[in-house]
This record gives sequence, structure tokens and C-alpha cells, in this order.
Amino acid sequence: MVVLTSLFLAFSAMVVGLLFMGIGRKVTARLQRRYGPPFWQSYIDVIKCFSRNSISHSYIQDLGSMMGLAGLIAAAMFVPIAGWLPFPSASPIIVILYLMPIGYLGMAMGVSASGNPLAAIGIGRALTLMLGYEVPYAILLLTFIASSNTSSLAVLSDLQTGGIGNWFAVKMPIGFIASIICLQAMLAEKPFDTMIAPAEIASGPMVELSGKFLGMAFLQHAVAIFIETGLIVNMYLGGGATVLSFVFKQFLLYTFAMAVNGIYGRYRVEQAVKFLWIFAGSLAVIQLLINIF
Amino acid sequence: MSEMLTVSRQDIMDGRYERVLDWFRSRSMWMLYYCTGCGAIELPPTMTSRFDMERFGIGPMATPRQADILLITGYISVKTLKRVVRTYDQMPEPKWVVGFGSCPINGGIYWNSYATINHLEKYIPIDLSIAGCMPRPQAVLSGLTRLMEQVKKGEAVGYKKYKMNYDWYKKNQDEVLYRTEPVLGGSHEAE
Amino acid sequence: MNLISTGILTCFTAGLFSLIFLQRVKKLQWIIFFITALFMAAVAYRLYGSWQLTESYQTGIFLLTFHNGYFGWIFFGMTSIVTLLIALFSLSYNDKKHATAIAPLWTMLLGANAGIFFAADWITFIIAWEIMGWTSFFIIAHGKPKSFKAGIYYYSLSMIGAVTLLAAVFILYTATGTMNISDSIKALSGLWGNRDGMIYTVVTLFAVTFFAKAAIGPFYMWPAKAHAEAPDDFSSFLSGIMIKYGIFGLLITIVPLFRMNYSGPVVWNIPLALYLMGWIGALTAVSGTLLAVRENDMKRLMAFSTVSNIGFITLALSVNTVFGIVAAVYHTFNHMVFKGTIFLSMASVKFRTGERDMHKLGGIGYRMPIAFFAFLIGIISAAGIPPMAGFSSKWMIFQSLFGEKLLFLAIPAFLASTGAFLYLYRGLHSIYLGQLSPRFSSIKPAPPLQSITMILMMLSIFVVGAFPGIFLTPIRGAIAAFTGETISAGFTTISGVTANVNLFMVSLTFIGSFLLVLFLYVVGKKRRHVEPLDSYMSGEYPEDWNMIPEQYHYAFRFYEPFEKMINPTLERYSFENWFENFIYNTKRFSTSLGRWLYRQQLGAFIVITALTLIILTGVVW
Repeated sequence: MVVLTSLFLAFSAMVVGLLFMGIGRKVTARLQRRYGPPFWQSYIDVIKCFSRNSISHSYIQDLGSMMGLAGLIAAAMFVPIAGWLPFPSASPIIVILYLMPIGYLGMAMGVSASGNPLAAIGIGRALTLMLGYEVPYAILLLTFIASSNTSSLAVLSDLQTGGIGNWFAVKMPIGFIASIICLQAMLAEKPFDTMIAPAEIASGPMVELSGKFLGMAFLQHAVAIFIETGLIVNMYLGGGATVLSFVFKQFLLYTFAMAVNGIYGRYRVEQAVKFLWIFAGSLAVIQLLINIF
Repeated sequence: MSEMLTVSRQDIMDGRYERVLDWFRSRSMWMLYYCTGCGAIELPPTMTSRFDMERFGIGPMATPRQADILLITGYISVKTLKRVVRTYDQMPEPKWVVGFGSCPINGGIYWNSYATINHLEKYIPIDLSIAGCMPRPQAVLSGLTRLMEQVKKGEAVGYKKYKMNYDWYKKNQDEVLYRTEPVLGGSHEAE
Repeated sequence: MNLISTGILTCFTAGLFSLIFLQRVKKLQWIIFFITALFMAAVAYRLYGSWQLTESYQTGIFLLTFHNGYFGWIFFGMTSIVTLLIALFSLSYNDKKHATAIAPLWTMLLGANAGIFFAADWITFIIAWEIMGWTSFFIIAHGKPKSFKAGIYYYSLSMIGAVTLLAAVFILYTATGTMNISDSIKALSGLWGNRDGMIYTVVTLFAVTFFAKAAIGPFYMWPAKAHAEAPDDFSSFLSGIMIKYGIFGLLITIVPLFRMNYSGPVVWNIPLALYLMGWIGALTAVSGTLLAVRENDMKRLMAFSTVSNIGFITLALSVNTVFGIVAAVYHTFNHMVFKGTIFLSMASVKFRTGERDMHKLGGIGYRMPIAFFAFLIGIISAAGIPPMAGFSSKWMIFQSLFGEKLLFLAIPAFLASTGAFLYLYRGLHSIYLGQLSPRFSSIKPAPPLQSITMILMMLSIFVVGAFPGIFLTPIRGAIAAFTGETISAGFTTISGVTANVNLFMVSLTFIGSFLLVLFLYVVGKKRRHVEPLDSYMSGEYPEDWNMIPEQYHYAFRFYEPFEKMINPTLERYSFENWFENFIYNTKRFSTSLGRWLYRQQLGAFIVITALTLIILTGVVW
């Protein structure tokens, strides 16, 4: 039973993430006054990717790609959807924040094994950016420990039940703004998409990915979207009473991120880190000070 | 040397199960532009809000590994042919080539130039040619939708043709490529 | 049965024997070293349970005492097992080409190792500490000029530590009148509120000793020098075990001192001095991380990583709760295993290639898969990523901080923890992945003994990651024997202040997800293998440009944008620069003073001044 519910969560995370990606492309298209692809385009893309032949430079690339998706799916198992979890756990934020890197590490390992310098440059940038957003995010985590002495997502979303007035987004607006900035960086959307940068380093980590490897990278991004927006919905937006409202809140967050993505240019990586540390970081510290005293 | 094998298209067309996947392939074609010649300027209007080819699922990609279509615009000089061939070899199957403009078809106005090649299909298999000098975005879109139909029916089998007649293509390529070797000292002497 | 002294004496005799008689047969020296390590592990096994065992010897005016406490034993047992594995590795590592002459000294060092953990009085402790100091100095120096320089640096810091240790023990003895370690600390804690100044002096002196050994705070530079220049297999021992003596010292002196009868100023409920120590630990963790990020030498990189981890351990110690102490000891043991694994893997690479600069390597993982996997598992553990062992101890350290609401200390800890991804990935990419240099295209995998060692260590990391109780249960017992309190933890669950996590479940989740992805992988169309150089280069053929794979290996100055950002800060607040400036300015000052004294005008000036003074005195008179 646990296996079935876990499988269900894994597939729904992929399905929801891909749906968001499709809608995100539509939103971007509309911002650019285009008609845009249909919202199910991402599903077609992934199936097509798996239907193509692929190349691999060594066994490490295969292993890394698999580890990349597996880490993200494992992290998704700890994100409560409207209070529902595939198997009982305290869903601690730290476990999620540290399980996601195994996905990123796997991905990084896989693409480095391709031996393309552009991929390594992209990963280097991605990790540097990670240092930029993880620190403010960790401070946000500390604000919850200061105010409610818990780092469990399930408990946090329970604390916010009973109307918008109880949401932490209303109670701690400064921290919420910082988390939105961090979300933009975690999703690697503009202005923080320096690691992809197709015109500059030929899509960075994905430069040597073909066929099913590219498909797995897409799925990984889809699951990452699900987790990252899910984290913020649980932390700040009350978690949602039903699955539908939960997904709708995630959708709002992602659409906002895509709208920002549609209108901004790109930071260099050190500018991005500085921006995140200075703005998101100081907002988070202000929230922490407010919560402590 | 080896002659071009003659097989009917029916023989190498995709099978029934493969055709299910072909529907997905036709709805999501990622394109790699090879724009060393002219004609690249026709692509931005095709992509942006006036014509918007993304509504067919066609979009630009950065590397040959990710791309399904190799779009070659304008003339191919003798030296760029080497790069085109390598790029084509690096693309995983299934893959399709679109010749864009008159030059890849027959040399166009560079027909008697010593520096360009005239018939691209002698070197790599072309699935679809868009004639014109230049073809306008409408023509590009109409060509790409035609390619989508071909792929959906499983008829776009240029890559299979290439594999079957590899010797023939290789011979043609080598005939041109030996001309690109540096005469006055180059990489080979430098070692 | 005098097991402890027998063990220690065996080490010294075996070491001396092989030093004097076996100079020519290096292989035999290493076999003796291995047998001694095996013997010490057996001693550790036999000693388990007999917690009342005390051995004392009157030698001259000194009374040497050993006591088998649970707390000392657990350190000894853990170090013995890891040493045994490293010794197994060394057997294979020191073949004809790579053999060094350090085996006899290392054998003696094993004796000092036992002496430090079992010493019951300060005399024994100091003697063991000194023997540890000079044997390790000779091992690090091992007859190479560059190593000698690093050895001298290491030894000077050890000397500072030894002097402060002697001074601390002297003050301690005069104040308490006992040489027994635990008694003297207990007696000293009785003086809180009476003679605070004296206690703080002792604490500072002890802190300098153990900080210098563990490379905490201003002493963060020596591991980079010593680890890099030491023999490769010894680096593993140095980073895994020797650096932990400082942690052990802190655990038996400063930590209990502040837990008993403390009545001084407190910050966030912990003593001010410990709070300062916490900040020193946090800053050590951050600076170790930032220095590691810009390092290109693989052994130096991992040495800085060690510094960073020691900073974490210090941070947990400063929390001053049982939970924090358990977290610190647990992380100490985890670090022993995973850093040992990482260094052994790198030793294997150096064994085959002879290179230490990361940008000259690359792609070794395709040829040495076991070394690659050992490194991979090691860095996953070091980065604190589940499902490996390192996660649980890092989690506990963070939880101990959250428990005492030391939230501002947690910020640098998070920074250091995330920064670890950067340098660890850099190591993985630059050494094992990327393009394989043609020079190394025909290297063989690691030899069987080395592989076995690495596989054993990998397995232990993985198993402890799923069942943290394997380490935590004995540690909890030892801490209970040491402090009288204990914490609650299951065999698979680690508890925390803000949430609990079942690590076995996390491991299962990961394995399950991996199986799901494997299914997707198999469903997808088949893959084709291509050569590493056949990659996207804008359609160019690399051979046309005389490019070789090495030139496509992106490793040198890997994080250049980030380096640009942090370099000004690091250069401004570098203790090494500070030391150098101090020496330079002292030299300048003394030289100028000397010059000034030799001047002729000075003579005239002194004469005139003297005359004026005399006249003035006369006038006033």
C-alpha cells in the first residue's frame, strides 16, 4: 500500500510539474504576444525524448542521470500535499533541502562525465547560485524555528489552518518576500538562469543530454518545481485544505515566477549571489530578528 | 565505388508501433539552426509573435544532441561542410534535415563558385527542402508543417537512407573534404 | 591482565625493532605495522566491558596510570578499526615504487594513540601527547625538503600547544593538588565563583593546545600544509584520526568544566566562553569552506574540508548540552570514516598517476571505478546528504543548535554546509570526471587490497547512513558514562528538537525512487556509447586545432566568479597573512631599532641629553 501511494505521489509530482511547465510556456508566450504551445506540450516533449535514441559517454553518465531524478523523487515523498503524505513522516524541511542536492549532485555527476567543458561551467554556476539561495532559505527556516519551534512542514501547515489571517505569508510578510526571491533562484528562472544560458554556454548542464537523458532532466525539473513551490505553499500559504487548492496555490507561485522570468534579463552568477545574499538574505535576517525579539 | 542503393520508401518506413511514437515526434520538433550562410534573418519572425512556430511544438535548441531537426540555411561552403557533417553525425536518431533556400538544393547564385558545394543531398540526406531565395516565414512554416505530416506518417526516413548508403555519402564527403586540408602547413604538419 | 600497557609497549617495541633492524626490508616493516594495528584492534575488542580496569606504574618519580573508561574506549575502538583499515590499505600502497620509511614511527604512533585515550593522569597524557607530536612530525617530514618545511610548521604549532599544555597542567596541579585528569577537572570546577581568573587562564591554555591540534580558529593553516605534504596513506590517518585528539582533549577538559557548577555570565543560556568558542568554530567552518573552494591541490582541498568539519564539531561542543556532545562525537566518528575514505581514494589515484594537482587529472573514474565510488560515497556523506552517514550527524548538530535557540550560529553553519557542495563537487569533477588525459588512458584500477579497503569503508558509510544506531548506541552509552545523562534515539531514528527523522525510511525512499527511475531508464530507447571527445564543440573537430582531451578538461580555477567575490575578504582576514605581517614587522622593528642604536648622532644625542639632565639636576638642586 505504501508502495502504491508513493508511486502515486511520484507520478502526480511529475504530472503536475509538467503541467506547470506547459502552462508556464503558455504564459511566457502570451507575455510576448504569441499564441504559444498547447498546455500539454511538455508531456509530448517528454514522451518524445524517451522515444529517441540517446548517446552516453560513460556508465557514470547513465548512473548520474538516474540518481538525479531519484533524489528529487525521494525528496518529493516528504512534501505533504494538503496534509497528505504517502507514508507517515514528520516531513522535516532540512531532510527535503538536503535530499534535493543528491538529485543535483547526481545530475552534476552525469553531465560532468560527458566531458564537455560547457557542462562543467554550467554546473559550477549552478552550485555557486545554490550557495546564494540556500543561505537565505536556511535563515527563513530559522525564522520558523524561532517562532514556532518546529522544522516540520506538516506541523507548519497545520499551524496556518483557519483562514488567510493565519497564513505565515500574512504574519511574516518580509520572510515571504525573501522566500519568493529564493524561489525564483531555485527554479533557475530569469534573472537567475545563468547556469542554463543557451546562447552563452549552450544550455550548460544539458549540453550533452539526448533522448531519455534529456527526458529525465525534464522530469527532474518538473519534480523540482513541484517540491519548491510545494515547500513555500506549506510554509507560507497555509498548505491548502484540499489537493486542488494546494495545487492551485503552487500554480499561482509558479505563474508569478514565470511572469518575472518573461520580463527580466540575466544576472551574472556572482551578481546573482550578491543579490540573493544582500536582498533575500537581509530580508530574512530582518524577519529572524522580528521573530526572536 | 558503391552505388546508391535503390529501395522503395515503403520498405524503410516506420512500422506500426513506431508510428504511435511518430505522432509525438511530429508534435515536438526541436531544431538546430546551422546558419553560417545567409537566411538566418528569416527565422526570428518565424519564431516571434507574427508567426510563432512554437504553437506547433517547434522550438530552438542549443546543441545537436538535443535537436531533432538540422536546419541548414543558405549556401554551404566547402569548409563548413565538414562541420555540418560532424553536427549531423552527433545528432541521435531519429533526425531530419531541412534545406533552407536555393543554395542547398542546387547551389543557387553560387552555382559556379569554387568555394561552395552545390547539392547538399549528396553529402547528407535531406528530408525537406524549402526553395526560394530567400523563402519567407510563411514558406518556412508551410515547409515545417509538411515535415510534421511526413514524420507523422513515418515517411521522413532520411537518416535510415544515410545509414544504408553510408559508403556512398562518405565517398562524396571525402571528395570535398580533402580540399579543405591546409596546403601551407596546418594542423597536420604542426605535430 | 595489563592489556593497555601491554598494547602500548608492544607498539613501541615493534616500532623500535622495525626501526633498528628492518631498515632494508621495507615490506616487512609494513607487515609489522599491520600486525600491530591488528593487535591493537584485538586489544580494543578485549577491553570492551571491563570498565573498572586501571593500571598504574611507578617509574622514577612519576606515577603512570591508565584507565579503561567507556568514553576513552569508544574513541580508541573507533580509531583502532579505522587504523586497521588504513593499515590494510598501506600494505598494498607501499610497494617497491611508493614505499616510505614511516612504518616504524607510525607503529609507535599507535601506542601514543592508545596512551592519549587511556591516560588517567596528566603525566601519562603529556608523555603520550609528546610522543604523538614528534612521531607525527617525522612522518610528515619523511625526508623531503618540501615536506620538511610543512613538518616544521606543524611542529612549531605542536610546540606552542605542548608549552601551553604544560603550563595549564602546572596551574591545574597547584590549584587542585591532584594529577588525575577527571579529578582535577572536577576539583577545578569547584572553584567557579572563587577564582574565575585562574580558571579562565587554564581554559585559555587548554584551548590553545587543543585548538592548535585540531586546527580550530587561528590555527586553520596547518592541515593544508601537513596533509598535502605527508605520505598519501598517512594523510588519511592524519585527517581521520590525529586531528581528533584535539576534539578529545576539549571533551575531557573544557566541556565538563563548564557543565559543573558554572556560575559566570551566560549568553543564550550557554556560558560566554563557550559561546565565543561556538563562534570560533562557526568561523572556522566558514573559512575552511571558502578556502577549500578555491584550492586546486586535491589533498589541500580535502584538508580544508577537514578544517571545516572540525569547525562543525566545535560548534556542537559549544552548545553545552548532552545532545550537542553526542552530535559532536557522532560527527567525529562519521568524519573519521568518510574523510578516511576520501583520502584513501585520492591516495589510490596518486598511487596510479602520481599527480596531485586536480587540473592535471580528470576522467580517472572511467578507469578506476572503485576509487571513484569510494570518493562519491565519501563526498555524499561529507556534504551531509541523505542517505549516507554524514547527514545524520550534521542533522544532529543543527538540531543541537536549534534546541538552544542558537539561531545566529546556525547561519554560518548553513553557509559552510552548502559551500561544502561546491568544493566536494569540484573534487569529484576535476579528479574523476571530465576528460581523461591521454597520459592516463592506460592506467589500471586500484590494486585488490586497496579496493577491498575502500569497499569496506563505503559499505560502512552506507549502512550507518541507514542505521545510525550502529554508532549512536555506543556513543550514547559512553556519553552517559561520561556525563551521567543520556538522550533518546532509536536504532534507525534520530530524534531532534524540531522534528524526528527515520533514516532507514529515507534510505528506503531513495532506493525505491531509484528503482522507479531505473524502470523509466529501461523503458526509454537504447543508448549508444560515444567517446568523450565526441561532444558538442560547435561542430569543430578538436584534432583540427591540435586540441587534446586535457585541454577540454575544465578544472583550473573552477569557481572563478565566486573566487573573485570572496578573495578580497579572505585576503583581508587571513591569519596566515597576519602571522607573516607580525613576523615581518617584528623583524623590521628590531632591525630599525638596532640601526638606530648604532648611529653616531645617537651617541651625541645621549651625551647631550645626559649633560642637560645633569645640569638641570644641578640647577634644580
